[in-house]
Amino acid sequence: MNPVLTVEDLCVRAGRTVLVDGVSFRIGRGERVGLIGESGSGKTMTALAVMGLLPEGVEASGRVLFGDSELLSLPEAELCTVRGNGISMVFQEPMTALNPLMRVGNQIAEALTVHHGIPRSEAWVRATEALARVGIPDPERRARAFPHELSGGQRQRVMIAMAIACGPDLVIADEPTTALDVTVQAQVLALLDDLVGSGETALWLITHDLPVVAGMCRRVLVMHDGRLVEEGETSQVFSSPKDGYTASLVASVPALSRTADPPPPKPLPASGDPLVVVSDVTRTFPLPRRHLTESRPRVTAVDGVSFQVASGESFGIVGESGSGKSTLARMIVGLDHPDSGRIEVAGIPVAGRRDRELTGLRRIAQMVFQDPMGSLDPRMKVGDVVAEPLRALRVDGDHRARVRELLEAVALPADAADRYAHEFSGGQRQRIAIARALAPRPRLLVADEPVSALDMTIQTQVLELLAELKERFELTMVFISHDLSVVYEVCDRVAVMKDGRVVEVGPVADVYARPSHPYTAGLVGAIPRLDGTLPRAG
Amino acid sequence: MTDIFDVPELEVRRRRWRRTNLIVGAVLVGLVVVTAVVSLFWTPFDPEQVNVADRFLGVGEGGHLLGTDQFGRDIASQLMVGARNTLFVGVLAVSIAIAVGIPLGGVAAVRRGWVEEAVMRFSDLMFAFPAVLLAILLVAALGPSTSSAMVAIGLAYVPIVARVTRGASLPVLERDFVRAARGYGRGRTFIFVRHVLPNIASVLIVQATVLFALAILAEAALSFLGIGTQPPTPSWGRSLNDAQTFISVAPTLALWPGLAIAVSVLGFNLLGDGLRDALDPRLEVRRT
Repeated sequence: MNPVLTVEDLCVRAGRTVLVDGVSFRIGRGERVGLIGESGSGKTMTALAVMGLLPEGVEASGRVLFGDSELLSLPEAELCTVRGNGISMVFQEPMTALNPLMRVGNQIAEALTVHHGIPRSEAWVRATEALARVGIPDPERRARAFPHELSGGQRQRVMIAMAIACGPDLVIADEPTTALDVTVQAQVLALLDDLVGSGETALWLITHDLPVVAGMCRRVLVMHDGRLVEEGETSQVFSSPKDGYTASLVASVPALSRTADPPPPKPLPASGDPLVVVSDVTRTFPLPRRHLTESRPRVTAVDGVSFQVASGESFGIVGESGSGKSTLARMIVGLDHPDSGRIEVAGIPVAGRRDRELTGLRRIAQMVFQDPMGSLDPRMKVGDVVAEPLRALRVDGDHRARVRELLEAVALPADAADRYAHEFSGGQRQRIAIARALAPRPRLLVADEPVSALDMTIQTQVLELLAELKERFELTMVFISHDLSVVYEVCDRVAVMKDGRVVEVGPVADVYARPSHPYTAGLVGAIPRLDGTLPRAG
Repeated sequence: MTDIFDVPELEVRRRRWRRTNLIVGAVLVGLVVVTAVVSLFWTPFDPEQVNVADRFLGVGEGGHLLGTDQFGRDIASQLMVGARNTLFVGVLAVSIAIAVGIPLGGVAAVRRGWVEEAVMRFSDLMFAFPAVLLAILLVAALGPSTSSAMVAIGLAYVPIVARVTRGASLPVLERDFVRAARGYGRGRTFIFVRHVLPNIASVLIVQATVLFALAILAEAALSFLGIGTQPPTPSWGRSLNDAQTFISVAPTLALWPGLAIAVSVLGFNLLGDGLRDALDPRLEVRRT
C-alpha cells in the first residue's frame, strides 16, 4: 500500500529543548490512525511540524514525506498549496480557529478559490453543499452566519466542512471534540466517521481520550515525552499494552468508559442527617437590552431545583455546559445567591446572605475550582495560599504547622510552601487548591469540575486523593462534573441537570444502568467506550 | 491543553532581551537622577548667570561644554538644574494621579452597580474637560508655579489611571482565586489590595512610566504658555520653547533640551517595561 504520509525520524527542537524525539510512522491511503498522549507529550508539535505550522523559534528535522514531496524542505509558497488542499487540519477550539468577522460560507469558499481557482459564486455554492454534507440544517441561510451565531458543535462541523472541502488526502484532527459536550462529541465523531470512512481520505486523529480513538481508529500510536512508545492495532494495544506507560494510560480509563455493559451496583453508605438542603432554587441572570425601551430580558440558569445531600455522602451533579451546575455549586457555598428558594448548609441559611454574615458557613463549606491555575493567586507563595483561609477565618493554632500538615496530606513536597503556584504541574496545583479548601477543617467540600483540566493519569490520582481525604476528614462532598464516568467513580448518588432543571436523582449505578429520563439515557449512551463501541448520535 | 508557546528555551531568550530593557532604562533614568542630585551641589557655571557678550557660543567655546543660549547662560548647567525640575514634575503629577486614580478605579471595579457608573461617568467628564483649561483655572486660583501646573496635570491623569485600574481589575476579579478568597471569608477591600493589586501592578507600572513621560512633555507645554515653571528656574521644556525663536540662528539650542527630554522619556519607558517583567514571579528565572 502506498502511504499518504511518511514521517521518518522527526525531531522538533526549541533551542536545546527537544520536544519531539525521533518519531517515525506511516499513514496509508484512506487509513485512520490515532495518536494518543498526555499534554506535553509532543503530539500537537508533531502535527504542526507536518503542517509546517511550528511557532517561531521551533525547528523540525528529519523527513516528512507527503506523497512524493518532502514537506520539511518545501518552500512556504509550495507548502501553501499542500495545506488545505492535500492535508487539512481540524483544531480543538472551533471558536478561535474560525475568523470571527467572516461569514462561515466565505471561510469555506476561500479554501476553494485559493486552491482550485474556482470563481467566487461557484465556490459559495460548493460551500453551502459542504455545509449540507456536515449536517448543518438550512445550509443556504447558515452559510451567511458568523461563527458566534453557531453553537460549539456547529462550529466544529464548519471546521470539518472546511477541512474536507478540497477533498484532501489527509485530515489531521487535533483534539476535535475535547471542547464539546459528550452528546455533541458523539455527533461530531459520527460525522467524521461517515465523511472520512467512505473515501480515499486518511484521518489522523490526535487526542488524549483513549475511548475516542478506540471507536474511530484501527491503528494507534502512543506518545510519551516526545517519543513514540507504542504502535499497533487499537484493540490489541488497549487490551494488552506492551509499554508500561500505555498500560498506565489504559488503567486510568474509568470503569464506565470501558464497556457499554451496565455498571455494577455500588453499595450506598448509611445515610446521615441532611447536611445540604436545596429547595426550589431559581437563579436568573440579566441579558443586555436589545432595544433601549425594552425591559432587560433574563436567562434562567437554575430553575426550581430541589435536593438534599446527606452527611458523609458523595453527591454528584452532572450536566452539559450551560446546564446550571456551576451556578448551583456557587450558590451552595454562598458565592452567588438565588432569586428565590432556600439553601441551608448544616442548618445555616445561605441564600441571600451578605458575605460578612456567612463566616459561619465558610468554616463548614469550602470549594475546589476547575482551573487549578486560575484558582491560585499567581503572586502568592503556596504556603500563603494555603494559610489564607486560616488567617481570614481567624482559626486558632499554629498556622505554619497546619500548612505543613495539609501539604503532607495532599502529598506535596515539604518545600512547596516557599514556591509559587506556577512552578507546579496541573495536578500538583489542584492538590494545593484542595489543601487550601481543607485548611479550615470544613465538613462540606464542593468540587466544581476538579479534574476536567487534568490529564487522564493525573485525573485518577487526584480522584484517589479526594476519596482518601474524604474518608480521613469525614467530609461530605458535592461533586460537579460534565463527565459521567468520573461521577460514577466518585459519587454515591447523582443528580442529572439539563437546562437548569434536575431531571433525575438517584444512586449512581441505578441512574446509569436504568435511566428513567431520556436525556440521561442519551448522555450515558454518548460515552465513547474503550471496547470500541462508537456511540451513535441519537 | 498545553500552551505550545510555553517553551523554556524561547522564554529564556525573551527574558534576556527584557533584562536589557531594564538595565538600559535604569541607566538612563539613573543618569537623570544623578545629574539632578549633582546639580544641587555643583554645576560648571551658575545656570542663571546672564552674560550677553557670550551669547550663542558653540559647543566647547569659552569653556562652555554645550555652549550658551540667547542670554549667554551655560546650557549644560541649565540642563543639569532642569533635571531636578523634570523629576519633580513627574513624581508629583504621577503620584497625584495614582493616589486618586487607583482607589477610584478599584472602588468602581469591586462595587460595580451605581458606584461604578458614577465613577466612570465622572471620569468621562474629566476626560472631556481640557487639561490645559484645568491648569489655567488652577493657576488662576493658586498662582503660577511648577507645582500648581503639576497638580493640574496630575488631576487630569486621574481618570486615565482610574480607567486602567478598573479595566485591568475586572478580569482578575472574575478569576477563581478571587472567588476562592470570598469563599474563605475575605472582604472586598482585602481582596482588592492583596489579590487584585499585585496582579495588575505590571499594567499600572507601565501606565505610570508612560504618564511620567507625558507629564514631562505637558510641563514643557504649560511652561510655554507661561503657566508652568517660572523663569529664571531652568526647565527643559521652557528651554526648548525658547530655542524655537532662535532656530535659524542657533539650531543646537533646541537640540540639547530636546535630547534631554527624549533620553529621560525613553529611559522611563524602558524602565517600565523591564520592571513589569522583573516583578512577575511567573517569569522569574527558576533555580535549578
